[in-house]
Amino acid sequence: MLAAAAAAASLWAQPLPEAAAQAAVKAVPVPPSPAVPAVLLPKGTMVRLMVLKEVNSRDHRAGHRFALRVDEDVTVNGVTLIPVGATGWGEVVAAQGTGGAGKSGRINSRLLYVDANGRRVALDGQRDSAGSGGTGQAVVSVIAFGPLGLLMKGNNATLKAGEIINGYTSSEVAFDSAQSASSL
Amino acid sequence: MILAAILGLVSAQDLSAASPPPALIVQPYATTVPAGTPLRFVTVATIDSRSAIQGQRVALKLADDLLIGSQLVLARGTMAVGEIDALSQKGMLGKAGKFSLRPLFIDIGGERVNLVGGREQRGRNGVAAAAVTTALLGGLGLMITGKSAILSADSVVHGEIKADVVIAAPATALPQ
Repeated sequence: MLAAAAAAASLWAQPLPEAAAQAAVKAVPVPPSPAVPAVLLPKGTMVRLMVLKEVNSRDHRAGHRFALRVDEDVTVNGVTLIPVGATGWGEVVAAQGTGGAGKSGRINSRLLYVDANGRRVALDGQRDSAGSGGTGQAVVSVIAFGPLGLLMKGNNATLKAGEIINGYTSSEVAFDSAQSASSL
Repeated sequence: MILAAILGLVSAQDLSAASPPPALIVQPYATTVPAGTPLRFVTVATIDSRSAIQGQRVALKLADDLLIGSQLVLARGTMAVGEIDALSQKGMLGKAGKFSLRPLFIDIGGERVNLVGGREQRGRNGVAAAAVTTALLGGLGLMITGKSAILSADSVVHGEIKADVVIAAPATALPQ
């Protein structure tokens, strides 16, 4: 009786190492990713961004990069792919300072990308801003101060801290859904 | 006789198998709305440059039905979301307030249909008044400001569909 039980136990025990060996062999060529489905962030998805620190036409020149903060979750099918607080970047493309006779400054900037959940998402979007001022104001100051009024400059163009810029994803990006969920 | 009966049964089964399932007829079908399709929105509330802030979202309402062929895709009155894109306050030397409002998206069951377009609203410029007052009264005229920009409720904002989008037709029937 005992011998029969031992024989049965050995029969049960035998296939296990084989299965383990097969699993070990099979595990090598199969990449680990197929079990985790990817979530696609479609091209053209809107990303709401906030300027963190003022950028202006007096202090900043073309090529200056500035930080942005994602201001609204970007979700696809209930999965948050880009969470609020993720960091994005923009770049000053052209900056023009102020001048005499009320000439105001200009600043053109564009959005670059957002980093979220280990992915870099490229963005499309730009912002042109001009400082206030202009010929009308120069005329009034000339009337008030005479020719000295011509020295009056316009205002610098600024991207104020807290200003909102909307960007749109410029290509489709695949996110690892498990990674996105765990970062929530 | 038996053979004929069997054949009859088989053909009856074939017929029942060939007829389309009724569920397909009931389901609403989706319509592709091409990029650039013009839409007309109206503002729901008055927007004033004094109280508005840059980046603020405002409610918009679709002013017309959107029809693709004879299919109603978006009904008049569908809500959309707009945003104060740029804003500057009125100031001295007759500077008027101004803002630009752009439609952002229509939310259909959690899916966003992105929009482009917009309009700019300016207050009345006070440069001429400031100039005249300065000429007559001196520096006091510099204090004169322009007017704030005010966009009243039911003002029209033009927009377009930003990119090709598939929208499921609403369940409501076309009003005759």
